[in-house]
Amino acid sequence: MHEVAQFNPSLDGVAVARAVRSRNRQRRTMARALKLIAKSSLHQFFDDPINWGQWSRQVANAALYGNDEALDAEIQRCEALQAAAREHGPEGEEAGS
Amino acid sequence: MPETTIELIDRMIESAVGRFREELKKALRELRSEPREDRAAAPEQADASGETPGDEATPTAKEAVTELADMADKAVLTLANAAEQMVAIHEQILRKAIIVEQHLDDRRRMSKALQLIAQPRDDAQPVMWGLWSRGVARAALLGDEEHLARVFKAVAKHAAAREEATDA
Repeated sequence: MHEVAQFNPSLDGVAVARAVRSRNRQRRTMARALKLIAKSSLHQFFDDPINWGQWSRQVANAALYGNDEALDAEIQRCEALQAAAREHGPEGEEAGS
Repeated sequence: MPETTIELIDRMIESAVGRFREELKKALRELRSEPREDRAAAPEQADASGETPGDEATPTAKEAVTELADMADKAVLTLANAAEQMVAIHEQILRKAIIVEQHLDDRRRMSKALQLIAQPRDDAQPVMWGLWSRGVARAALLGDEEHLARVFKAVAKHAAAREEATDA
């Protein structure tokens, strides 16, 4: 889990700035994970060994433990999937019509 | 209505500037009313070269008053500028504090949502859990505290029911 940065009024300016930066980094990581989950959909997991529920849990855990690398990899993978779906989408519609 | 910090600073500055002005006015009044006997005696103190000591350097009473008035104006202006800067800095600090407060709220809400999504659960219904997680994530990003509170309540109720069932 992330180390929780507690505010301590006796800290010097540098320490406070460091704590604020650490908190901001945690906030950004959490926001990225939540965006990833919020944009997810069932079709992403049709050909996946992992199911939607498990995947959401893994992404949430990665964010809570500050695992930015895993999160980055997952974001890139999902973006690639979405791009492929966009490319595939119009063709599918044309074929259908 | 309680006085805000900005109002308090404003009032203190107004009061300080007011007192400063009063003091200066008093000093100027005293200077104007002071008889300049020293100037009448000055020519008698001329030295061998015929120059009065300090004649060039010593200003007349009128010049001294004007100079002092200029200095007072400058001092008041400096004080007023400093006060303005102080208020501006205080406003900046307040704005920053509000942003930090918002960030803390966001962080707390997001952490809560992620903990909900990350909790261990029965994987028999992955689609349902996927939809549920997506709903929680969207609520956290949109700042929907009510939705999150409802989810928390439901999760707590579910956990209590499960514990009761296990005990039985």
